Amino acid sequence: MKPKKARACRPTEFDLVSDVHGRLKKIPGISPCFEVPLMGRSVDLAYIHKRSVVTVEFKLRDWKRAILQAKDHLLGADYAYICLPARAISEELRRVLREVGVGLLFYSKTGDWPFETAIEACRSRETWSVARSGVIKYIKANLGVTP
Amino acid sequence: MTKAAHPVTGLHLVRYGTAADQKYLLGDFLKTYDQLIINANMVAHMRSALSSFISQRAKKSYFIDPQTHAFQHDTTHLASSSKYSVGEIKRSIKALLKAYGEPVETRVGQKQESIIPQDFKNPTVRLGFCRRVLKFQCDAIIKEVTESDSAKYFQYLKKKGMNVGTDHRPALLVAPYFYMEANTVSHWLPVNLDLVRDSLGIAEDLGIPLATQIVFSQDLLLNQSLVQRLIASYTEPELMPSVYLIWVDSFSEQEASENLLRSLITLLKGLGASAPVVNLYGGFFSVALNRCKVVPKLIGVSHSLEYGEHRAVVPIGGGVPVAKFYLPALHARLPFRVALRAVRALGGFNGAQEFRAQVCDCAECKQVIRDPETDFAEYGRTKAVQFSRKSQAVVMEYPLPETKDHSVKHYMWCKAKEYNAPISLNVLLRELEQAEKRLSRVVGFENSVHCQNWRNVLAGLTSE
Repeated sequence: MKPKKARACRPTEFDLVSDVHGRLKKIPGISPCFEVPLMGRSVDLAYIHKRSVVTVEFKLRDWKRAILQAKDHLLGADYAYICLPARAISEELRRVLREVGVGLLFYSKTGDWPFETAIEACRSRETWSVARSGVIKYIKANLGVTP
Repeated sequence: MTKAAHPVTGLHLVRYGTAADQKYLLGDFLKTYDQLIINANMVAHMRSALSSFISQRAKKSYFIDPQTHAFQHDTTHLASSSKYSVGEIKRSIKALLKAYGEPVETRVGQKQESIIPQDFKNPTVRLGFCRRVLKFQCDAIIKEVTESDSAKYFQYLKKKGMNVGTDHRPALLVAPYFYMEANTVSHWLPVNLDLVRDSLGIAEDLGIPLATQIVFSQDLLLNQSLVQRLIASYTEPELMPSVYLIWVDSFSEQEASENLLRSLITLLKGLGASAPVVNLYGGFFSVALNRCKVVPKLIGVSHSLEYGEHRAVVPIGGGVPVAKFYLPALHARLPFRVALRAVRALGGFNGAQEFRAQVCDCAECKQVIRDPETDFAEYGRTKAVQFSRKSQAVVMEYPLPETKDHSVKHYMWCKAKEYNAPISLNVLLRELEQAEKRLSRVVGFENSVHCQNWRNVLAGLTSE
């Protein structure tokens, strides 16, 4: 059995979202917001960067579930990503991401920018203007809120 | 429509849920359905308001589901969740227990124990129970009209020359019944049959036709020998009711396998050989069985507003309400984001004309959808509510009241069309095939596979 302390130190998804949100906030021109409602889904983190809406779904393990959720983000975002701890990218993961048009980020503990882009997201072909406006409105209304 | 003399006055039955449902059952919607079904607990809870609704506003034929099965489950399901009386039996249930008397009044009301088959061993107790359950249905509304404080108001309306109707009695009486699963059927079936036997004479004395309600699980429906046993038992000549009412626990026609659908048809046909049948919780598949003359003896199909095409016998928590849109092409309610993809794939965003031709041309859509690309949002507007769960912020979306209003009206118009628009089996089979082809990759196979299942079952029946 592993010592309790070691288990307690393992970061949770919430820890990652919280850390990323805090670091993105410090970067000029980025407007991050956590827990953004999007047509029945709740996006872990969304931000506006260079007039584009970007969403990020964080997962420590279940990347299939992350992709399923991120696929729905494409309705309100310009770019949708999943964010995992750094790992080897399997062929299956690469193929599924390509098929749905979702990008892959690895969480980066160090540096200003909290991600390492493993696979670039394609621009969403599904964006619905009404949902995108809703996301922007929510982000702007909740900019000061921290997780 | 069935012949006028029958207590089930037409194919389209609607279950009255709450007082908030009234606005969708009156006005323009009044003529879209044939008959109302009201749960006994609702009658006990708001008898006066219901009397006024039925006798003056809707003036519709109705009958009452006595919900006797409620007393066989864990009694925690009967407990109030109100902060003033948490843990106590709900007031409406207490009223029912008092009206129904023994054995439920003592066993459930006083001891807070569930009813079991042995409680009906004594024929005198059983007969008394049947009499009180039927009398409750017979008198609940009419007493309010003639004997209560509201009676003065009804008399005033009569004097004013307003039509308050003359016969407020239910169109039929439902014999007490209990829920059966594959492992309990041998215990409950004999009780249920005795209850029907006892009720037949009482209903005859009251001069109102009797319905036999059969409530059972899906596992029972999958067991062919049990299905045959149900048919054989309930169609005994001395137990012949005016109509059978069936309720399969949590039976979603969209989620049901072909086997389950076929078993349902076997049961409907088997019972239908003796008396007409009503599916108390059914959707378009059941409607099509009647309208395409596959099971002509299925003379009624009931639903509630938006959500009642299937229902669990043992109530489960309501969950968070979600914005959904009834997509006529799939005859199914879809989460809004899934519906959005479907509408787009059908070409519904190419203009109002296209939306009406490809998606829906109901009165509500005609009013709401002028520029589909933006106006379709009216069916999905929500309010985000942030709260804390385990010290973490969580956001939930709740549909706005106006979103629900648009969705329910749209649903009711869609249902009216399904029950009444011209239909033929061949055209339906083709439409189901096309809908699945066009939408399965967009909405997900799980949201469209029922088209294939329905088609296979219906086509198989016609080639028999």
